[in-house]
Amino acid sequence: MKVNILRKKRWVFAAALVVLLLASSLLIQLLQPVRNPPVTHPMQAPPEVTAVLRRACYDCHSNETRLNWLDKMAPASLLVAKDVNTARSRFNFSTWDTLSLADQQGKMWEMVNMVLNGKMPLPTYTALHPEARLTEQDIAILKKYAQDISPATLHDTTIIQQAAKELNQYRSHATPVAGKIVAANGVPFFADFQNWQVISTTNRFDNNRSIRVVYGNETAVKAIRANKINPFPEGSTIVKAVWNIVEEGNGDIIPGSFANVQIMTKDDKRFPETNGWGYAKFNGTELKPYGKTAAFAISCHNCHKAAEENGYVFNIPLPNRELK
Amino acid sequence: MRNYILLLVVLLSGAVACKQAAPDKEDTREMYNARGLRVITSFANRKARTMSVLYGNEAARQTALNGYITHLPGGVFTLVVHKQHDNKYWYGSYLNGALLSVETVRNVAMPQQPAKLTYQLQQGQPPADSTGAVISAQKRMAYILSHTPSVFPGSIPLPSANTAE
Ligand code: HEC
Ligand code: HEC
Repeated sequence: MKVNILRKKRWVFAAALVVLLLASSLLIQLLQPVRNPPVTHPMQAPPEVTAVLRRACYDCHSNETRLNWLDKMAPASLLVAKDVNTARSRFNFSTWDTLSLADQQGKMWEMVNMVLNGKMPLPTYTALHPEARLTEQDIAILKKYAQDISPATLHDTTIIQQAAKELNQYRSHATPVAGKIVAANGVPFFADFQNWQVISTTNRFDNNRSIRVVYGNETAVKAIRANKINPFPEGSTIVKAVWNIVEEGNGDIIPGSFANVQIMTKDDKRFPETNGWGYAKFNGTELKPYGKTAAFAISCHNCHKAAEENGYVFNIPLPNRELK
Repeated sequence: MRNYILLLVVLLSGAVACKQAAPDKEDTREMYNARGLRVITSFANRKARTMSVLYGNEAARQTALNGYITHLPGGVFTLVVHKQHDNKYWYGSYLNGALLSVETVRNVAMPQQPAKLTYQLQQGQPPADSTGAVISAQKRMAYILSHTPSVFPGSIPLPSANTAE
């Protein structure tokens, strides 16, 4: 008799458990983790541009997320929600017009490049939404728009005049730097990079029109020569000096006023959250450290992920086989 | 016998592994080594698709800073020209492609003597104009010695040479 009661209790318990599980999985389906807040400052761009972006990017990077039934099923819905929230926090087409023109230009070039290197739209998304894959023609539309909103200013007199002022100061040795200059994450400025080997010079015709000289210390240069850069060895340091450019109608590009010095230094223990790279940027001839807190480096690294294949460094001279 | 075959297999696979360890020359990357000279300035031409760096020693840097009016003795300038190449990781940026030429101008005059400049093409083809005609050494020297130096903030004060005016 006693045994029977015990058995019955067990059965009731098991049944209750099953009901509870069923109910909770149904409840989870009812949960709608993705909500669509109002569209307050939508992007103003030519219709062919917004058409491409709406089709391939708006589900994550806007407040006009449309989910299909698969996306709405738990647990997929929870993963989708995470992606959408992260994507909106990076940039949001529904609040796009709150960004400065400079930020809009920068983001457009970043978009083009994220698409070109296959990082965006997220591959997990295109697997379920094949219509979001971009064609050559779609990419050409985005490239053209990025160029159209970042036009060149030929013979920019503001830059020329500022450069003349800076050169005058430099002539009289007077670009002194007071004391030790250190970025918020502890990476210091140092002038000795000028005695290092040049890795490459670069110039940019994107939103950031500038001419650059990129230097490497011995560890970095050795790794690049031998093509052992994924990952770069500990202690590798790369420095980039950047000048605004003066562009002329005949195609000439020369350095104008000084823009900044940027540093990447490899120390896996100190900088684990950025794959071992410690970033720093020092602006203007007074070398003002960029970034109030050490978190600035996350945004540097997010963009450098585009060069993941090269150990997160963009300017790697081509291997001999590609130099023809 | 079986042991010998095994040994042979081990040796052979070792040989293959060694071959893989040495980097293939096609996969290594070149960078111009200016051997102690520092960057005076860099420039480019998008139409000619070239990217250049003017290097120099301290006497050369001082000469550039004074607008090439007074040539300091012992000045060495080296102009290195690369082909412009698309950066395949960033649409919107160019980097150095193949090396096109390396030219050096030296002031070989003794101190207190008027400048005596020499020109040497160290690597590559003699630079040509748009019609394909080789440009004279005289013209190349004038071109090389026409570039305003770039401003480097926080410059390293170099020993003694810096005092030359
Ligand atoms: C399925 C959701 C999803 C779609 C669709 C999507 N993205 Fe993203 N996007 C993300 C997420 C998540 C991140 C953050 C990724 C990270 O940092 O690892 C991101 C980051 C980015 C960034 C980096 C922004 C920054 O400042 O860090 C760019 C640029 C970008 N996306 C462009 C695009 C473009 C262009 C499209 C359409 C062609 C697109 N994305 C479509 C989810 C998406
Ligand atoms: C929007 C994308 C983007 C962001 C954000 C960004 N970079 Fe870069 N960075 C690039 C690109 C593209 C290059 C290569 C082209 C060039 O020479 O500028 C580069 C080059 C560099 C280099 C030379 C080594 C290399 O990778 O070629 C350094 C050093 C560097 N960046 C530092 C920084 C620092 C420090 C920050 C943050 C303060 C930062 N970057 C933020 C895109 C970015």
